Amino acid sequence: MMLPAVDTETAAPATSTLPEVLEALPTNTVVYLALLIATYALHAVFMNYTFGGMLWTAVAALRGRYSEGAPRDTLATVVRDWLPSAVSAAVTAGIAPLLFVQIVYQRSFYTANILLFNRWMALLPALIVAVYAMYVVKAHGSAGVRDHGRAAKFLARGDVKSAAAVLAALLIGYVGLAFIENHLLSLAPETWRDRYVEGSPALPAAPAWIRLAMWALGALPTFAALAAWQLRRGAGGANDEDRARASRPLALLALTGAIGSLVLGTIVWSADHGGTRLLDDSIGRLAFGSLAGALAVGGAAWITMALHRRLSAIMVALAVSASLVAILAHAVLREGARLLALAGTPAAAREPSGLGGLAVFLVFLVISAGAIAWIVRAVARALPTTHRA
Amino acid sequence: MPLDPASAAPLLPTAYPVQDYDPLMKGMVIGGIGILHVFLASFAIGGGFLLWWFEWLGQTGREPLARRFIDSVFRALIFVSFIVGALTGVGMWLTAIQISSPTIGLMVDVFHWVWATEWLFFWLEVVAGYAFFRYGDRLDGRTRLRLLTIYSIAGFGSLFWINGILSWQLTPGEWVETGSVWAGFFNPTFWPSLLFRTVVCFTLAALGGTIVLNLVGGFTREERERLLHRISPFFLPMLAMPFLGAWYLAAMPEDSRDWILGGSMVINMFFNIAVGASALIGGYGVIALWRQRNFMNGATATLLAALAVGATGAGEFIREGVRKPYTVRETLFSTAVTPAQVATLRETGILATDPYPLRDPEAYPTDQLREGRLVYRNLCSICHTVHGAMALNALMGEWSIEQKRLMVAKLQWTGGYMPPFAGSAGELESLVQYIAWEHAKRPKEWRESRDPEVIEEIERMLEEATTLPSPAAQKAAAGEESR
Ligand code: HEC
Ligand code: HEM
Repeated sequence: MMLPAVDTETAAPATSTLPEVLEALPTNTVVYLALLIATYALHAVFMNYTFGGMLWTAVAALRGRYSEGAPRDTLATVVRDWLPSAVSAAVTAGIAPLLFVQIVYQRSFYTANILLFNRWMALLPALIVAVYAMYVVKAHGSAGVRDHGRAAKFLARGDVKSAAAVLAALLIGYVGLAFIENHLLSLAPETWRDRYVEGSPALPAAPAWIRLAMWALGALPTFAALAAWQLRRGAGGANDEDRARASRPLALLALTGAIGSLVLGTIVWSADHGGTRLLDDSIGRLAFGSLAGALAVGGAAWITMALHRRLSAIMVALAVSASLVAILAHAVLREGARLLALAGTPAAAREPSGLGGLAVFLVFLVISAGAIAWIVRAVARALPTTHRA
Repeated sequence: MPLDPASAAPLLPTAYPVQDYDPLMKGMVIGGIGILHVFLASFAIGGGFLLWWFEWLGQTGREPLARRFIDSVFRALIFVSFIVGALTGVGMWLTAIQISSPTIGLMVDVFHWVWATEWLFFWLEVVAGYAFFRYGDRLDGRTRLRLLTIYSIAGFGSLFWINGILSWQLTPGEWVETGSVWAGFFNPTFWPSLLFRTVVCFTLAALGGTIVLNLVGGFTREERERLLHRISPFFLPMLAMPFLGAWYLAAMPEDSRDWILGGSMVINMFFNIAVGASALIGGYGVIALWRQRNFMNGATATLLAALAVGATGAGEFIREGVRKPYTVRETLFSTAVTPAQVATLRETGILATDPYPLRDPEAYPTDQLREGRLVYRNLCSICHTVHGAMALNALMGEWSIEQKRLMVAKLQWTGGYMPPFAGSAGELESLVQYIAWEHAKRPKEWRESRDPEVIEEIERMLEEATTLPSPAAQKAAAGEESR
């Protein structure tokens, strides 16, 4: 085990292209980068559903959809019931990129964490409160609550549910903003010293808000596609009428999100990173092209579904796949920007000092994937389709 | 030209900006979150086994009430604890980054595949737990039991993996020489610490179960007594605590053990709190419940649970405390300096590597005081504050300036829980002047003291102290003398 001695050399940043940057990296680092991109994409799938679902739930709650005697709204019920699991999945999925980002970008990720301090750490209490608030929105005569008449009545009140849903949506938005601010700061080593001395401004700067809007809008098509898929699978006892009713609102949401995030994406990704514009770079152009293409295909699928007022299997599959491609392309763009911004600085992508333990991981990967597949099958088998809430 | 913040070497205090938490000590910050996390996560792990046990009792017809108990809020409580436990776990990670990035960075470098494996177990916990929590009512007995088996094993698995990494910090074992991940993972304190933590999980689950039983409606007094009796085996592992504790202590490095057993008053106090609280919980749980002499009501169970929080807290402080002066023994000092770097830093000075200036330079009348404040920030603030907890002002403010110089130059002699001073003689003088200035209530004027004779004197003291940590420094000096 070799630990570095004191070393204060400073390398000068150099303008380069992504293929050049990748070429110069050790193979191991490229592998970790790929894992970072893949696991971040997985995280993004769940967090997009969480954010979109939270917005949907908040609007449904404000419209009184969760009050007693409200008209049947299968989509709103399904989304509400799945939110806590979606946020658990987002959190669990988030741990892997959290691990890999610490390996590849240790210096810049940690420094941004420390510099943002309160603002960054606040994401945890925000998430914890959001999770509890989601359970408040969801609570409906579950076994434990039934025992307590007063608590159950309080939790069943429409205004309580609306307040909890709006609160959770705001908090989830805050968590997203915290990650964005941290990411942007981690890309700018030249600002660290001043940030340390001056502290963070009271409000995040404009680029963070633009990026937040890009992400929030980009989350909508993913949410719409996954929700459509749930309805097709008969979640919450959804029938053809429920699906027909949901098709146009979901299409509107998906199209707004796709167009909006593409417009903002053009602004974000044409910015200068370490002297190179991502859109001038071959890999960057490929990724941006895939993103735009996927959003267009998904949009076309949604237009078809809206026109026919039908969530057909093939169109839903198309919308879901398009979302996954868009997320992956987005993840590549993010990493491309980071590679360029940090290339040639001492905070550039690095290799960890130890690499052992991979074999054990792979063994358990197979075992746990098998176990999860078994659970999903066992539950699916045990439940009649109409009960798959 | 000022240094580039991105350029200081990763294993140095100066590699990252340092926050000021005065009057709180950094250990307190991580300890606080640690208590909450350990408490929730341990409860969720033990709770999985308790659920399994009740499910089995119910299915085999041994306890007809078992199913009703599980389907009360208990099931939900376990699951929510698990989620919030997971979030506070992320919180531990983020806090560790705030407190000592070089430490967590080293841990990630060495053990990331272990962590990635633990991550797989998290997924298993989430999926199995959620399937049971959500669909349990509608699943057949066999599937229910299998889901709980997976959930419990996954929960225990996550403890298994993290335990290897945490115990490595105290006893890295052969990893120090070989760099082998598995030598580090299955280190000398791995097993005692794993078993110890497992007992804690079972106890917390038993206490939680008892509280819930007293809170939920729908059970008669007689039914409650019966269910309590069913919970009571989960108190039994506490009987092994004294042996596990002794084993744990025996496997520790000698100096850490000595601090626990009285060498450090604070750590010894926490140790006594932990032992006392555990004895009370264990004694009450085992005697009262197992022998069916008594009924544990909600108030008693809550009181015992509060004691358990106390014991957990004390345990966390001990864990953080006994590693001193290291965060990873033999490898990385709490200050994020490595033992190998000390000699170089005595020559170059620590400030030569620090790109971050002071936030309030105008508050200090001279450059030397500014320098002293920076030295304090890099080499002392991880364990001390100036005026708050573990205040340097209180610990050394009254000493004469000569005494200050000597005690800091021989820091690892002043206390074996402190690393050797890792800066230049000039920096040491600045630090000492800075503390004297703080003790004098920050007067507007302060004389610079850069007398070459004083610096030479300090250099001599530093040389006498050696660059080795305690107890190697003392051994080396004794060897020198006997020659
Ligand atoms: C690894 C943690 C750690 C670091 C780093 C550290 N100390 Fe300490 N120090 C301690 C502990 C623990 C004590 C014991 C406090 C007590 O007894 O209340 C202590 C005690 C002291 C004392 C009182 C000793 C006595 O016997 O009265 C002085 C003086 C002191 N430290 C100075 C410093 C200075 C100056 C620095 C920075 C150069 C420093 N320490 C760095 C942990 C540390
Ligand atoms: C549901 C709550 C969450 C939301 C809404 C959310 C949102 C986001 C967003 C918007 C980004 C992208 C930032 C950017 O591109 O600038 C992101 C990245 C990330 N998130 Fe999440 N997140 C959530 C929870 C979590 C949790 C709990 C973890 C940790 C376990 C996590 C780990 C990560 C990581 C590691 C990244 C990549 C950071 C980087 O590359 O710099 N997220 N998250």
